[in-house]
Amino acid sequence: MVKKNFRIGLTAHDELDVMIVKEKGDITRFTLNYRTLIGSRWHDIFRIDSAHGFLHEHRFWKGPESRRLGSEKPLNNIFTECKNVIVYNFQKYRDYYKKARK
Amino acid sequence: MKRLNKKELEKKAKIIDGIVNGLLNNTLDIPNNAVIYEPEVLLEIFTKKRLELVQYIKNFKPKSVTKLAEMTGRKKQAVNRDLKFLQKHELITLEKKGRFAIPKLEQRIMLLNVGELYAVDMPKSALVSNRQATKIKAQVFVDGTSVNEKTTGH
Repeated sequence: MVKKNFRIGLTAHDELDVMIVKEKGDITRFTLNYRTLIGSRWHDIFRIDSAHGFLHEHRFWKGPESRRLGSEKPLNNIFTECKNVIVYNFQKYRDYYKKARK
Repeated sequence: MKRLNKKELEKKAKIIDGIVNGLLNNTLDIPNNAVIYEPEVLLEIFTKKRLELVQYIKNFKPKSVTKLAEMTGRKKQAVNRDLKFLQKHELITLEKKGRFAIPKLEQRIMLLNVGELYAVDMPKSALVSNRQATKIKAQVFVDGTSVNEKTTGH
């Protein structure tokens, strides 16, 4: 079992934190956390993770509560889908978050 | 703030796929807690002057911002501004010690596919060894130590 943490700069003000735990070439646990720099502080905007044994997401512009997601697919596929959701939508999510703060 | 178009987003998604697939297939190994920037993002964060600051911090471990400003021949205010920027991006820390703030490398930085980034010229008097390259193709730091050799070829 190997755990890897890394972060990817989506832009100079947006980052995606990635944590994966892999075993024999398969993801057994992951967290994807998108955050943005507002002023001098980083704010968590959107997170999907498989901790606590089930897949759930946090949409921080709506509040700190998580929403449980159901999926029967292998975690490798789920990871790719979740990663795409974030990469293709992070700009929209950032807008939602900024709007919700006003 | 500039918005990225679909093509640019696709490129980012592919890069992440490449990294994760590489990790899963054991064809890529990256240091834990690595920070990965694409060239466009990288050039926004690491201007030539900021990259130079990182190099000076790594190689010469200045004991204060004033010392670093002296080493680089820049105004303290300008150096301070750049250090604050790098601190905001969690790439360095400014450790308070009495009246001084000691700049330290905070993060593991992995620069992918950078190509010839910048020529960083250092005064000969500042060099403590011949390790400082004048052309940087890709610079990778792990805990403040260059691991370029390790990652070459990945």
